Order: sequence, then C-alpha cells, then structure tokens
Amino acid sequence: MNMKKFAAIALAAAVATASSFSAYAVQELTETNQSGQTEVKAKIQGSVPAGVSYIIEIPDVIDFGTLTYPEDDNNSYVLQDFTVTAREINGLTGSQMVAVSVKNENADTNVNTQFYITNKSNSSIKFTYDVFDNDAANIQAAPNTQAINAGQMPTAGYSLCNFTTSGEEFRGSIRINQNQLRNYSSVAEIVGDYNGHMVFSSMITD
Amino acid sequence: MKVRITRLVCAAFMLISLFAALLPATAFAQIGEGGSTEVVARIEPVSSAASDTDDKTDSDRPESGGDPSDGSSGSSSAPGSSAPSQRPGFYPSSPVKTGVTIAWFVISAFFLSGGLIVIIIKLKE
Repeated sequence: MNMKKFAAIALAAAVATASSFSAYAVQELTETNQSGQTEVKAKIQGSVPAGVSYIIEIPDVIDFGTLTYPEDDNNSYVLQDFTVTAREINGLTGSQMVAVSVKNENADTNVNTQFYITNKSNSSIKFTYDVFDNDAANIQAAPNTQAINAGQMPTAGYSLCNFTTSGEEFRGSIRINQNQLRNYSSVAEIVGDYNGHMVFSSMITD
Repeated sequence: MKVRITRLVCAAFMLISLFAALLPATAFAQIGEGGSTEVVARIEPVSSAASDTDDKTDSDRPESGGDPSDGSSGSSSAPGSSAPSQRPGFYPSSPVKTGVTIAWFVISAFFLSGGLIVIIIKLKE
C-alpha cells in the first residue's frame, strides 16, 4: 500500500479514536452501574494567593443497600463508609488548608438541614440519615458519637474534614436508623428505590 | 499549489477535529468548588425482604446496638436482629480519569501516532 495513503488513514484513525475518548469522560450512573467517582477541582483566584489549586475526590454513590422493616421499635442501624481524598493540593502556605463541608441537596440554614433519602416514586416519603466524621467501625464501637449534622448547619454545610497535603484520605460514614420505616404501618406503603444527595463544598481556610 | 492547499486543509481539519474531540472531555470535568454524592437505598416488598432477613450477618454492614446520637429513645436492638440483606453497597474510592486527564492522554496518543507515522514514512523514503 502507498505509505502516504497509509499515513493518511492512520492519522484519520488516530483522530477518530481521540473523538471516542470524549464519550468516556461522561459518567452515567444507572441501576446497573452505580459506581463511579466525582472529581472536584477548583482554582482559587482573586483574593487568594495565585497558584493555589487542589483536586478533592468524593464518591459518586454511597449505597445503603436494601433496608428492612424492623420487627420492633428498637434502633436498627445501617452504616456505610465513604472516603474523601485530596488527590492534589498545591500552593498552600502557612496554616492554610482545604476545608470540605457537606450538606443535603437543597438544604438551607433554616429548614431542611438534615440529610434525607426520598422515595423516587413518592417524594413525600423521606428518611433521614446521619453523617459522621469517622468510619463505620468506630461509630459502631462508639454509637453515641455525635453526628456532624447534630448542630446548626453553617451556610456552606457541616464541616467534614480538612486537607493540607496531597494524598490525604478522610474516611467518614453515614448511618440510617431503620426504625423510621415503622412510621408507616406496612412495607407496602414504602417499597421502592430511594435516593438523596450529599453536596460537598470546599474552600481555602486558615 | 493545489497540493499545498489540500495539505493545509487536511492539517486544519485534523486540528479542528482534535479540538472538537478534546472539548467535551474537558467540559465534563467538573470544575468548581463543589460536587455531589448520591446516597441510595431500596425497600423491597415483604415477601422478598422476609426471605432476605434469613440471610443475616453481612460483615460489610455493621449495625450499631447503642442509643442513637440523635437522642431518640429506644433500647438497643438485639445483636443479629433485623440484619438486612444487601446487594453490594460500598464502592471504594479508586482513581478516576477526569476530563483533563483524558485530554492529556488523547493529546499524547495523537502526537505519538503522528510522530510514529512520520518516522515510518521517513524510513521508507
């Protein structure tokens, strides 16, 4: 084959292949593909010293799994771990740190300050869950640990963790008490899929 | 002259194609100070939930038996009771390619391919 033709075809194939990469940059969460990662990247400009940048990695999905209608009114907790990672932090000086906060989707400081999962078919059915700045094993060992959402919620959300160096990892957990399900007289009223969103925000603080 | 114009058009087309290929990749990289994590759960009808509770003790799903931190009253649940079944629930964090990272790989692959082809052509001449 003529080498120049081959070169032209190969270059065209390379560009076509490059086009296909863009499709994979889009993450789709479906019922069969619930795993993934959300990367949060920010560049601080303006009053913050130039050159500060960071990448904080948060999970895409945390799954409580299948909840069970308790047989009695006793507490019945389900815990799940999650990890927040400082993939990259550059340019911090002195006592600066990257502070990560979290709050429920659409929460504000006056109402809806708790974390909820909502029935996808009936948005009036909601269950609350708590967020802890410690992993599930430690919370299980010390069940009276106060959740980060126990107090008043700041505007940016409840303070979760701080990072100062690249590679730092924070392990937290969320906990739901299944005895909330007993607020309904039967499982039939509340069957279905539930979801909610934890919204993370980050900022440079001293 | 025609050949030169054709080559320029081809080069421009390739650059535009590369730009078009990279633009969605970088655009979908989340840039900003926030992001969200979806929290999901499921409640199944009694028939399947009842059979699922027979399969207890999933070691990845610890249950707390103590009083809740939210202050609600109630005695501790008995160990092992009401242990819900679960499809895989926790997806550990793992490195992920972002739009920026993908763009870098695309650029590298593109120029490596182009360079390789040029080398092959030169060797053949």
